Amino acid sequence: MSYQLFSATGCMRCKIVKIFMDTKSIAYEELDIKSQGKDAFKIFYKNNRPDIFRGKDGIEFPILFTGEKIFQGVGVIIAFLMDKDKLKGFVTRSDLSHGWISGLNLCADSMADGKEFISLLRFLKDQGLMIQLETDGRNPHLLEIILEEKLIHRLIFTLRGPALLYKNLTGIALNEDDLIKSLSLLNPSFEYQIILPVSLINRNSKSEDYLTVEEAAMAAGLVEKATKSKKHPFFIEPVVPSEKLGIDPLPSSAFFKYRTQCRRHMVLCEIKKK
Amino acid sequence: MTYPSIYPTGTTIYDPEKCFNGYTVFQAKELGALMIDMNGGEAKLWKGLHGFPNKLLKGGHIIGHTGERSTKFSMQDYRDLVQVDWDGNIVWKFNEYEYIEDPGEEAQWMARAHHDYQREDNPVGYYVPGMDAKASEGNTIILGHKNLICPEISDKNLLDDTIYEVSWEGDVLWEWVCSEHFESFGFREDAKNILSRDPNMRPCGGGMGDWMHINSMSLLGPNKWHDKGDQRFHPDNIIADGRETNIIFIISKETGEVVWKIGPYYDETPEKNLGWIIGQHHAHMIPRGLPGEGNILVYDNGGWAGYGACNPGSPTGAKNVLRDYSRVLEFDPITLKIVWQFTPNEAGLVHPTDSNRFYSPFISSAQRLPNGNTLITEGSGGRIIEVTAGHELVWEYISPYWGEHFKMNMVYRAYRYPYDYVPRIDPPKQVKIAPMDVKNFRVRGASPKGPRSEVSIEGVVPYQSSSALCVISDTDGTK
Repeated sequence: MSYQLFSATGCMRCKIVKIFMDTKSIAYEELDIKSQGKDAFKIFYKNNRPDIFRGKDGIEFPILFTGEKIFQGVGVIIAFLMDKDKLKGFVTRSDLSHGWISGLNLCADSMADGKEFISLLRFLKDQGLMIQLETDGRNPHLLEIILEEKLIHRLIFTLRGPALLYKNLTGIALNEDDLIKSLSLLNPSFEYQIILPVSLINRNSKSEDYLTVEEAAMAAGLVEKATKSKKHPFFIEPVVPSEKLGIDPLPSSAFFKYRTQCRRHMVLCEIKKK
Repeated sequence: MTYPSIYPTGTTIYDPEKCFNGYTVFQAKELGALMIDMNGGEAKLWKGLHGFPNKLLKGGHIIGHTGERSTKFSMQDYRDLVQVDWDGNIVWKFNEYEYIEDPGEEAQWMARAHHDYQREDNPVGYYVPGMDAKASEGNTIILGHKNLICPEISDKNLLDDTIYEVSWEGDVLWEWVCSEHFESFGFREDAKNILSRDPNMRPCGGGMGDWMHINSMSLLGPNKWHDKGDQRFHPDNIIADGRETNIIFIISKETGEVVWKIGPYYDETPEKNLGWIIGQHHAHMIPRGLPGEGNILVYDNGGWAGYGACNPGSPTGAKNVLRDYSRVLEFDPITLKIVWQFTPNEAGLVHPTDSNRFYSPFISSAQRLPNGNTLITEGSGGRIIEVTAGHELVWEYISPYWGEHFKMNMVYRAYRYPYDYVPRIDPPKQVKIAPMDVKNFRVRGASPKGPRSEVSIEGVVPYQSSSALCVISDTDGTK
């Protein structure tokens, strides 16, 4: 398979991908969009505009084109090159810049050994990127290794609710022991936040309603139980449902009750601002 | 402000026929919540109960605080808001607003309450016929504090003001954060400049900017403006004032937006009608059922406040407006025309040469009474007075309680309640106290008034009736 790599002069993330490809002896044609690849990229962009992400700072580079598929961003490209589809879902587009990378998570499903994922983190860290990892409590065995090796700089712990609701909330069940184990790994030696989204729950496949105040408090209580501490950076996140569901978002005043009840267990609880 | 060294305390003037007779409740400095009768008799003391302020509920319960946060770490943060019964039992308490861990102090929840709060069914916390605050249930709206950084204001740690509502069960139901509405207050560029450099920095807790310093917060309650369809004056809306900015404003309870305001500038129409309000306290709408209902009543302290251009009295532009006397203003919130006032002039003082005898540069308040009188707390000197609509002084009381730590007899805010608010005791005797003739009042050992020897000089002329003093006064040009 021949690859085209669209890069930009001075782009550190492009350089990181090239280092990876060179180290693994993966052949590619580099097209620098600021010099010899300028015209080629214009045509490529014109033909693939819907598939290329453009953020507030412009188009994210590098972009890898396999001839069939487009991969954009350092994490996504390396994950693909490491093991094609094995890391699919665990590595997504990063929305951080200035030396940070996000889009890396342990939430997509359970990962038996996770060697590739750990290798990816090690490589990105070795290249000087600061990593923000996301978890929802799954794969505590991997989180333990990651934290032991100090591979990440920030952890976003998305606490979906009490463990018994994970199946309804995400479609994939989560053992409460795993959730407790993951939570128990939180400690002040690294930066982290716990975020509790107040989102819709499909309780019986017929109707959906929001995570209740009591369920939120139960989840907060689980954090206290797992960590034996009431003091964690804990945020309630209002989630606006898709318009096509026809369900009204909760009024902003509704979240104060969530905060009050969660504060009984997590005294630093705040409502996350938009 | 021209206090003699020796002067009487307690009630000094009392005309029972012209007063709205009842109990007056205030926080006696470093003593507790004190309830006095019209003759100054101390009918009840809730010893040690803090009050910022204290408010009495019908039935004899009182609201206050169990204590203040260490001033090493913040300022004017009261730990909680509590309701105490006649026998001193705490029957309601709220403190779960913020979990505070100050070095060397016990970690604890705090309400961070300051300056004001309102219990459901009464918009202002003082006596309004037919609007008694709930005493055994109901929500409470509290003025609170929160520390934060707001880059639009300053890069410094701010001691921001918040307003929040709690249920009887202790759930926070609503919250408003002042700094989130900074752009609504209409500061000019020179004000933004000094605000960013010095948002009223206070030294506690490593330094924090008490940039707005809201010192009163009340509901509008039902009013004629809303009856006529003006949604700015919805009964649930909240009026507050910022001492440091000279702003009085109303926020929508529904949206949080600032829907009405005066200040920070009074050199433009229509604020010019009011004169420059400075460092004001206790701005509120006179509730329905009281004379002047629908008007705004405010104690306009004078003193020093505001942000703006530098001037000789304010080299940095901080606290750049100054005045050394106070005014109590009642004005129409639509036209901003003054409909009643009590200023040094109405107090019978020569202006401006004697105006500072009606002056409290901080704290203070004004309460409209059912008979049209106004109870005024001229707080810095611990003086509480009742004046009629015609400006007659019919009651005067000077607090006899000076603090040991803070050596003033200051009174933050006093409230008058009818006798029947306290059913457990009989109404007291009311004994008239005519104003004493101070010309002949002498302390023991002092000689009586009048010369022991007198002589007349031929050729002298009578004194001028128009006093052309070193400074112009309102007697200049009079006959």
